[in-house]
Amino acid sequence: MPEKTKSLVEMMDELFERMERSINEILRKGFMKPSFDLRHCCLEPLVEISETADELIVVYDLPFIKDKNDIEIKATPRSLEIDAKFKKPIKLEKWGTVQKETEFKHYHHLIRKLPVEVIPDKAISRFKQGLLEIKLPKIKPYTIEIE
Amino acid sequence: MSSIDVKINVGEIKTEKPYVLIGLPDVGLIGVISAAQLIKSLDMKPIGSIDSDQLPPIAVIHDTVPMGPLRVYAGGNVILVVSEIPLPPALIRSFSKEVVKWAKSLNPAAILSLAGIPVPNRMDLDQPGIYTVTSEPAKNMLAKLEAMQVQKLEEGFMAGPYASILNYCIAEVVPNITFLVQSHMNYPDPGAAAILLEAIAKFLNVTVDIEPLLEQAEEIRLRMRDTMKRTRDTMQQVDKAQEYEIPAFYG
Repeated sequence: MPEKTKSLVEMMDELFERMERSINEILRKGFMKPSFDLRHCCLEPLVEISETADELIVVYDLPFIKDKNDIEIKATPRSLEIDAKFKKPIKLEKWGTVQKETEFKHYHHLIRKLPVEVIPDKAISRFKQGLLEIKLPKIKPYTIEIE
Repeated sequence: MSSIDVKINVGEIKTEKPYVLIGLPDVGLIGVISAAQLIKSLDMKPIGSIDSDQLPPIAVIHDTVPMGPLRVYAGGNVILVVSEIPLPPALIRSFSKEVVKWAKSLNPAAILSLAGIPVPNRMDLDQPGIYTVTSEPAKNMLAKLEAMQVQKLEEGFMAGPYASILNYCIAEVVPNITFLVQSHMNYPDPGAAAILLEAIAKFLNVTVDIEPLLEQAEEIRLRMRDTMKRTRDTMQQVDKAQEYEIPAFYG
């Protein structure tokens, strides 16, 4: 079957997708990326990802979050997103000139591509002393028997 | 091996047998958090700075006053070397060598390193413990440390700037005690820093107010996110995760 010719719109979409991936890769490495978003009044939390044989463990540092009910966690087999709302907006007295321009209302963090596939509906989490720990069980590979 | 120029710009110090404290960005930012609180609590004054061509071109501004990121403070019989930025890995050896050489010229009572040791279960640890590593010339202080009920680190690895300072103290026969408080590796840990400062205050026989650290713990954690992120990157480069491992020799 002859290959379908791509429309200009499809080619532009692909180009933008590639550009977005490249930008995200640069941002993921921390280059020129601030840890806040003034437009969305949002802070990026510190996050640490580790692995055991069975689990992917993601821990977020969420100072000023007091109540687990203020945290929303969304997961798919390949992604993890958290949003944690402050009870009252945060504005530190001795903060940088740029950050002082706004009152921050929440933390937000999105991991678009987890290092391994996980089972989101089997995940467990706990929140203690401002630290949110999420344990995501890894998808186990099929065992193939030799006939 | 080529050496990198490190310049310590400090005038004459007349304090006899000072304690030279070192607070650098590392595990849990223990050194930086502790140093900031010591400066406030002991009313220490800036007496100089440390420079190198290998440092990024950075100036820090505090209360409208610009300053370099690596500074030296003094108060009573305590001299404090502090950095607000993680040391570039290529600079660690030269920095440590020059700081130890300079500290030795002061005929110090000891160099005390304010450090953390990472523990994976820190989240479940209400009262982190303190370990110490002591260079040979500081052995006369062991009884004092034992009375304080801090434990000796019996087996393990140290990696990064404090390891380098310890190594140069051994080579230069300078008394060094590295205080290692159990802490988070990748999050600022003011709670652990407060426990370390209690021990340091007891050791130096000075009063250090640790309440602000506990009261402002959340603000400190929030404020230091960027420093922690940059420190995490440099810790990866010096293979800091090796501190979870045990050395090969046995018997």
